[in-house]
Amino acid sequence: MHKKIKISDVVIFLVVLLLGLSCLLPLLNVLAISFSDSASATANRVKFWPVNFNLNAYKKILNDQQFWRSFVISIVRVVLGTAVNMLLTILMAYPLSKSKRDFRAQGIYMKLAIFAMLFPAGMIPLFMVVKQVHLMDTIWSLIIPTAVPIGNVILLMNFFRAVPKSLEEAAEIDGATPFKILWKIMLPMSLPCLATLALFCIVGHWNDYFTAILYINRTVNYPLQTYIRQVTASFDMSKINNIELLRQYLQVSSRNLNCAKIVVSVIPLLILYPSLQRYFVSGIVMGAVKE
Amino acid sequence: MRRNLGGKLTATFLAVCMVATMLGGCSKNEKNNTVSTEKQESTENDSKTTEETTGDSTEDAWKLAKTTPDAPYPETVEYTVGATVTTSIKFPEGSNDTTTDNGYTRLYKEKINIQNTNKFEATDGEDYKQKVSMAITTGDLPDIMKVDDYATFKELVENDLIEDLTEAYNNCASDLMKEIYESNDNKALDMATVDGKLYAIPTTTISGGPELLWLRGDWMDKLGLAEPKTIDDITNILKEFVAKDPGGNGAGKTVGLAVMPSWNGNFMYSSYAGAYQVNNIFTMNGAYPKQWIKGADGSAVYGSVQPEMKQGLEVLANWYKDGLIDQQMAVRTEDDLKALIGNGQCGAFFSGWWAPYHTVASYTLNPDAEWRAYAVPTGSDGKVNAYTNNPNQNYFVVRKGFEYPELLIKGKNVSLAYNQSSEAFSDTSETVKYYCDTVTGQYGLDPLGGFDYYNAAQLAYQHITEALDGKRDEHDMSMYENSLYESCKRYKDAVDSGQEPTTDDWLNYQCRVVGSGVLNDTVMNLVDPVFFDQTDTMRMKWATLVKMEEEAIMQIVTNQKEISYFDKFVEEWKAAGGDQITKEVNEAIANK
Amino acid sequence: MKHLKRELSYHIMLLPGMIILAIFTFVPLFGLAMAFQHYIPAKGISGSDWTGLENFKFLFVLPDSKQILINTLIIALGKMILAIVIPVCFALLLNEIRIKWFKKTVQTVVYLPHFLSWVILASVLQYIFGFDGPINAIISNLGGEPIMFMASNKWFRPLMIISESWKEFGYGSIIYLAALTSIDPGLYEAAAIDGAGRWKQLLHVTLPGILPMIILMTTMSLPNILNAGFDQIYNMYNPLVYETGDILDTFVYRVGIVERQYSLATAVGLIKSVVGMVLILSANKLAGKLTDRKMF
Repeated sequence: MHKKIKISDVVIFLVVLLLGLSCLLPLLNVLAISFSDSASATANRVKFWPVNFNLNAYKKILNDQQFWRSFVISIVRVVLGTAVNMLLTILMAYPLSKSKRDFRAQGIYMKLAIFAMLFPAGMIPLFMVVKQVHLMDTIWSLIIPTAVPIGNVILLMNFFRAVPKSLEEAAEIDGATPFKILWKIMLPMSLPCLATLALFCIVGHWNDYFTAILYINRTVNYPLQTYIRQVTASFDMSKINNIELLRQYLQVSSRNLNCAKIVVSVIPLLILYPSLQRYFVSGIVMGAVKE
Repeated sequence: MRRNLGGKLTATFLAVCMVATMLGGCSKNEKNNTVSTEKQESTENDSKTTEETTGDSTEDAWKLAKTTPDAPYPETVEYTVGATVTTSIKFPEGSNDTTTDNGYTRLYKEKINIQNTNKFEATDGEDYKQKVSMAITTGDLPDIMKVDDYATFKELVENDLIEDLTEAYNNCASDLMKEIYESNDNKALDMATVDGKLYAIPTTTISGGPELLWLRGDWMDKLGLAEPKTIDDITNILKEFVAKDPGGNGAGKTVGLAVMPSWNGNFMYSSYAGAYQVNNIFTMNGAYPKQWIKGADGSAVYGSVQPEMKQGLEVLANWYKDGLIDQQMAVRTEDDLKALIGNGQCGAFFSGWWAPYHTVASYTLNPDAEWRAYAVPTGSDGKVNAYTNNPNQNYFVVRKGFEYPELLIKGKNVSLAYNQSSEAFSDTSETVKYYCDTVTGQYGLDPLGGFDYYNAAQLAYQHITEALDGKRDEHDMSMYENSLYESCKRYKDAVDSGQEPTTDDWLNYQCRVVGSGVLNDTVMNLVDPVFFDQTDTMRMKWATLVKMEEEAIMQIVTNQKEISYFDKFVEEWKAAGGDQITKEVNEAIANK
Repeated sequence: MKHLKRELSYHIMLLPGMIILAIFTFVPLFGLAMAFQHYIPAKGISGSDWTGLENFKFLFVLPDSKQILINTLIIALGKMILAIVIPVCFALLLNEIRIKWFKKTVQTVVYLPHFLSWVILASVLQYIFGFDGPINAIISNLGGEPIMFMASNKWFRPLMIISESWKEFGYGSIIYLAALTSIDPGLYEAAAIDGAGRWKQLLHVTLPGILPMIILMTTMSLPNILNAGFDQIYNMYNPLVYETGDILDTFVYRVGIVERQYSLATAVGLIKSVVGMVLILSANKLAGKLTDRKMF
């Protein structure tokens, strides 16, 4: 019996290790390229260890004012966007988690929400609306149109439903308002879920590049991912009539620089997840119930 | 625990609110700014009208400005543009330059007194197209913008959204502008003309010259190979490269010819003289793939489905069978091909004169790597067959109702004067000096932009080599050519004194002297495609036909299908809408 | 009275979100009209010609319509299944790991591929499955003929499904890891006292504990039945695998190159929405019948 468990432990450990490694290797490749010289990177000579180690790519990024400006814009967007997302998610999930007996309009709201999830606004009509309400060219254009992530609402709603009814009922008898119940009972009970949803929001805002192309009219106001993603392909050399365009081509097609940009833009996410993991500690929720 | 969380959340929320108000404040300020400029503009307009009524001299000045190439406007005219910018702009250190106030814009302001504000900015390509589509959709066009494709241009004309520029062009186009358009027989203007009216100032395409075969010269020397002329010579060189491994890559590691796969909108014959193309293999036998050309009976036919294609396909299929073409060609990306060449695993590919941009890594990693360019394979007359590209890259248009449609042309006059002539060197004003010093580092800020001679690459070669030989003054050329000349000179000086030239200088010399030299010396048989537009059936069915074509061609070349399969493909292509489209193309040409 | 007051609070809570949905989702629905038009930006929705069901018909009359639909369904379905199975299995495995630092590190590492774009990963996969890559090295060491995986109609679809699943499993497992934390530790204690081994605990405590989440995630992924993953396919397919790899989204994209096909894209979007709605509502009904607990 004792021995058997040990073998299964080893097998599980190895499987997890292998899966982990498989995810690590492409990243190591990106990292190694970012520390290599441009020619070796172009010639695909870099595998998992830098060739002709140098920091040129990172020096370029450090000196690139726009990179940092976009970095800050992205941070602001993530903070604002996640706050708005979470606020609205929480406010919507709680009433929707109620049964039709407790909240007669629940069915109608739910149907509207599902409908909105399945019929996302098309690019052109949404653009027209964003323009009409004067959000164009503001950071809010990146936040408000996607302020209600319905998938998240449904997830949180299901989490809320799993919270024991007895807790709520006790609070109601004490005369707590729904807002108070939500704040004092439901939220602390759903920390792992809230942490997860916050992570989804942060990642979504951090990664999104396309929205800014549509709604932001000044390239200096681009968030980071939009800035990083430059059109590298289909440069037609025959059309070039300016020496700087040629230099541009060399720059955007420079693999080590592109990889360095990816590395720098992934670092915040690398810090983020472990710091959220402490809300995933098993037993918090139900442990609290028991006490 | 709970209190802790509550406290944290409250703190975060407060912080967020603060940031939000700050940002809100910012955007409000911006709005105020735009409002105030609008006001300014309107007061300017008011004052203008009052002045017009008071003095003849100002009225004359306005009239002069509106009807001549270079007379400045009496007062600053503000215009909005849809600007293409690159996001990696570096402003000169210590300057307060912005995307609307910089070397370019100040030059325009000083010369003809115009000032732009950017209605929107985006990087050139897909992003910019997206912005233009949205601007058209919402009906909120900038005064001046660039339109990338002919279909959109025509859509704007048909819906009466852009100004007729015929009169403005006749009045205000400089001699230089006219000369540049004439360098390609005014084809550019013809395409921008609808029903006899000019609706755009098109950006010309620069001829890429012949598609050249670039070969590793050091490998040829090592193997004692003579320069190629015919298709058999090429086959032989490829064979030797692959079999004898002159690069020392190890058995089976050297690939033969690098060929562009169907990737990111490219194909092995998607543009003449583009990198990794094989057009020459087809044009040699009179096939002009992907082009609408005049057939034997005088009507327009689609090149890719003509029987002449089969000979070229046979050559490629045999090469593939014998391992002379990269065996993984189907799945490569452009980066992969560049890597093969950079790594010294591939010593042969077709490209125009700018191929060194693809070979530069091979030089950096191995200074012995030497590339030579040949205009081959030649036909029985000793010439290469080629086709010409669409004469226009894009179209600059003026919003219907903009008061100063000639502003676009006058602005372009300035751009051309300072970029395509030697004016930048004779004009000594501060603004021009700043322009010369900084714009080469500022690509992507020009709100209007210029264009170049059809034979610009050839002219540059002539000017640079003449200057290198001491037969031309180094300032008797355009600013761009001069910067290339300087670079080539540095390269020569370094080589002469036994030093290693910088990568940039190597690049420019290889492109502008080595590659362009072949371009300059080559005489081609040129075929002009007869149709660059779209027809109704194309809108829906063209994508499917292209898919059929690329699938069939790729299968034949990689030996998955016999050459005879080509006939079956042509039949299917015709039935799937090809015949209908061919009919429509001929009708469209007849109606023009 | 108290009941009414509580309901009022619920309405107030829903109000901000609903306003935003109204403005940014329901109002723009007028754009669906484009699916029934030949939309031309210069004419706008009010000025463009109405074409009825032309755009929808077009999707089904092309020589390759059937092929494209089949490819889309197979690839999407494969991805949907693995997007549930692998993250769940991985979360369960990780849950069994007792070494804390290792658990945390792996958890972070596996979520990173989610942030690498397919442009980058395509070249990595291209190398791994290329002639000079490790897979073919193994094959030739074993005496086999090298296979050009990315140009093989036999291998292309499985490769797309597996590589996408590999890229996303770490990110996908986050939600299950969160769900695992809400299982009452008391249940494990009770099971252990009853003499249940690790395997039994997994079957009787852990799995039932996250089953509602699995059902919920499965249901929510159903609308993806026509989303086979544009970015991935676009970066990796080639004419030799059009037969098995060309999907709805790549097709619409290619049509769009010739002319911006807003109408066609809207029509495809509408089809996806309707199919998604049918699937998700039936799944919800089914779940309600089987587990007498509807998800929404």
